[in-house]
Amino acid sequence: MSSGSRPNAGGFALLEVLIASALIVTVAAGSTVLISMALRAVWQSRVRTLATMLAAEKMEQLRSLTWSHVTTSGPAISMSISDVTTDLSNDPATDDGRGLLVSPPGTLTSNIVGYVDYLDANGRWVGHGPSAPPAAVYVRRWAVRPLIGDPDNILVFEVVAGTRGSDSAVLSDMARLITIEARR
Amino acid sequence: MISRVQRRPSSNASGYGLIELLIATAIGCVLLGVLLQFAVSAHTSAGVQSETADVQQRLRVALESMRRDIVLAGAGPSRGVDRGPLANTLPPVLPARTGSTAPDPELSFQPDRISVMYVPDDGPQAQLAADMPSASAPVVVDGTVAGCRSASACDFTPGMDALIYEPSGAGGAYEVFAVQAVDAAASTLMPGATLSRGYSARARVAAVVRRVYYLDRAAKRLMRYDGARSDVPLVDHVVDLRYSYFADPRPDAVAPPASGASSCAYAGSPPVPLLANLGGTAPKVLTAALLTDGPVCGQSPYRFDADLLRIRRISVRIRVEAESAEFRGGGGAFATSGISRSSARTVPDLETTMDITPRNMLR
Repeated sequence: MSSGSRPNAGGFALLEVLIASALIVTVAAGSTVLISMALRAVWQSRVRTLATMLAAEKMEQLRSLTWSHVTTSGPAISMSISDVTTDLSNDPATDDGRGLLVSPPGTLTSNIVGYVDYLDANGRWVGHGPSAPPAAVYVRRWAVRPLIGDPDNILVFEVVAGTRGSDSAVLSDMARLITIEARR
Repeated sequence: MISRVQRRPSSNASGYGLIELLIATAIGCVLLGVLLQFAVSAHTSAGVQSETADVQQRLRVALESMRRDIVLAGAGPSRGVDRGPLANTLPPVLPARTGSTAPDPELSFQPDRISVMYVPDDGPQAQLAADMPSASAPVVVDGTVAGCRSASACDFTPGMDALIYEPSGAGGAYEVFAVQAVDAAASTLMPGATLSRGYSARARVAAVVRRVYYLDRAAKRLMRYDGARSDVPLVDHVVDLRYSYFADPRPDAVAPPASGASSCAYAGSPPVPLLANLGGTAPKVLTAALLTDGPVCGQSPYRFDADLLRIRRISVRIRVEAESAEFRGGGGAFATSGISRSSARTVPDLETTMDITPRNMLR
């Protein structure tokens, strides 16, 4: 570098070298930012994927609860059978909850007992209740509502899952799933 | 090199002095060091980044393939008499390998294997035309029955896998056979091997999809078997796979028999359920013991535990590791320890669960 430019004039002064190094450092720092952005994007895609999978998991658990009816032909009777005791916020589910009874308002926007559970960074269940345990990274909430057109036979399930922010009520990187379930 | 550089400028008069050169070299060295450091860390993080994305991607592929098949488990014939879910009769989900090549013995339980079965909606679906005189008799299908889409043996073609079962209630006989030849004029299917028994005129015959997912622990591979010929590797570097089965805990979780029919999950008249009461209403895990202790349903060699009919949800736990040992370290985060010494240069195993509720196994 120096040998080529030297015969023409005085060559590089210290100042020029310093400017050149400053430029190189700036460019390097710029690409560091790029790389760290890419790393963050990979991380965030994992977080979002996991949030979606966790929401889907709760949805499958809601679907597996009994929501059917029996008919007898002897006397013609049709009787609804609905799960009204399962507590899905426990892992595995226990029998002291409200099953598929209509959930109270606000279960998707705040942590309401029986409609929220907490999971660690790997999606493992770590607890339930009104406040998140220290290990909790993900918060999952759900709601059970009747469909207005046929409230006795069709339910709307809605599940949200996301990471816990500093404000415990607000979730970031949130996935939201909705489905309906008809009585069998 | 130093002497050459110094000699030439000195003849030109001014030029570099030793001090200037030393300063330039020092700056150059520092700069080079910083750049090298940067290049090394960029290389590391690029490697870690692509390996992490690869682990996540393999996990997604594994779970999504299993989900697609398991969620359909139990779908039965959609046309004709006795249509409806298979779980009223036979186990659409089995915790073992089934099929024609190296099947597990009947009534066995393997935590890392699952077999599922479903009747595709767009495949041939028929009924037997008459009682089969013997097990070795050809299968004659009723070409006139509703749901049979044409009189040409109901669209069955050679090479198909067909499910034949007695839809009379839980625990009737069933089996899957390969259709070797079809005589369209006589509406006759020739099974590839002799059936285990003769079926009654009420028996249903339908094209069936079978899938077995299992872990090849030695090769660390998630494998898929189609129940007939081919075992296909699906995802590499899967280090653990576990299926759990959640069941309706009530003893009457299986449909009671219609009047006059029998069911392996009930005894006496009026029918009394034989299944154990697991307590409460929340789905409960079926342990290996519960899944192998009976009551025993079906006919040999395809007998099964009645508890399989009460399955409502399947939980899959899978663990995937980084492909290259360069990105694996030691300790609990790695199922197979690797050669990485720096924690910044590792991609820990990814482990996750997925719950699947087969839509046709609810009641």
